[in-house]
Amino acid sequence: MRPARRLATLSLAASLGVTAACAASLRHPSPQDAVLLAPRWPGTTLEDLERGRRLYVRRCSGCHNLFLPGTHPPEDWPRLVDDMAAKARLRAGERDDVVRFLVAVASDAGSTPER
Amino acid sequence: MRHAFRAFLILALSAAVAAASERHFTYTYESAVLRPGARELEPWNTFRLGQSDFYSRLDTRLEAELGLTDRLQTSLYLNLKAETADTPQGRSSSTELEGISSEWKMKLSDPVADRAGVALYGELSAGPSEVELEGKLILDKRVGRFLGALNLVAEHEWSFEEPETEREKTFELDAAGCWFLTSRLTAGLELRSHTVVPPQGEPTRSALFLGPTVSYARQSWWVAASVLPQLRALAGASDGHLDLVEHERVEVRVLFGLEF
Repeated sequence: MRPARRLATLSLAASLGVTAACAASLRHPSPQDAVLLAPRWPGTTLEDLERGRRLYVRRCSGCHNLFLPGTHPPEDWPRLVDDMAAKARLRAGERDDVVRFLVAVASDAGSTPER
Repeated sequence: MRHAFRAFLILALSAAVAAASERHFTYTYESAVLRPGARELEPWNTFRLGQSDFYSRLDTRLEAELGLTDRLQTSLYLNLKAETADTPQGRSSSTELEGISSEWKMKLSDPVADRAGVALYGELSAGPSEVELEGKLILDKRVGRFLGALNLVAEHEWSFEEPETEREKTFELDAAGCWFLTSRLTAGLELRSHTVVPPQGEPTRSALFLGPTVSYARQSWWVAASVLPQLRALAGASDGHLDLVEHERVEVRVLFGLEF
């Protein structure tokens, strides 16, 4: 087999491996998430949660691989975010958006797969 | 000794978040970029052992990285080479400054938040005797404790030699996977396929490497190391099933990163 063809075969096999691994991802918030948070944070909108997701992906991944929200109990997220908010340059309002997104998705992680 | 081992275990198993932009592999890049304003110093050392006859070489690169935006980072490298080889005139050793490199990396998607992490990478190297242009497509994915990454690399080199400039193309496929033993410590395997297409009239040489890789990260520093023996030549075998003309028998690479 020629080198170029061998390389192509290897690339294809490796690509398939990576693609097969591409199962879970960070899900977007839903209207139900806003409802779920209403008792604790009244007035939280779907837009707030989307902003929280966007901030989480952009600011937090500069320091470490992101954690799927379900990997920590919902009550742990405010403290975890507070520990790193300064390094991630999150302002107070941005910190709140990130926390609400993570708490909402972590609270729902048991019933909805994170995809 | 037992206390030292226990102290090491406690350090290794502590569950705090690891360093910024740590690398978990030595050849295979991941899509992560430094956060805006963050700076990192990365000394690289690659030991290349066992080409035709006697041969050893140490490549050292000193890299300074800077995060520009949430998606873009840049780096500047200083490249040094120390080489020992048998030549018709006898054994010779030399050390030379190969040149400097400028690297740009743009992250397009995230390995956890999205289906796959994707990044584009470009590097321009220039030295007294050659210029290189390198492009890389980076894919990676983190699923639970598993991290996988794949790079497709193409490189074009111009060597300024008398009487004319020589051109050489290189194609590389790097694939790697590791398991997070703790949030700081990983162990895995790295595969490297490296193909050199020299100027017309010379044979293409291609080799496949596979070996273990480990990494460890703290908040402000990280280290990654690999030992990649050549498994076989894919083209241009010169010594049994290996190519020892263009490639080495073993490559050992150690990377260190320090935030500053």
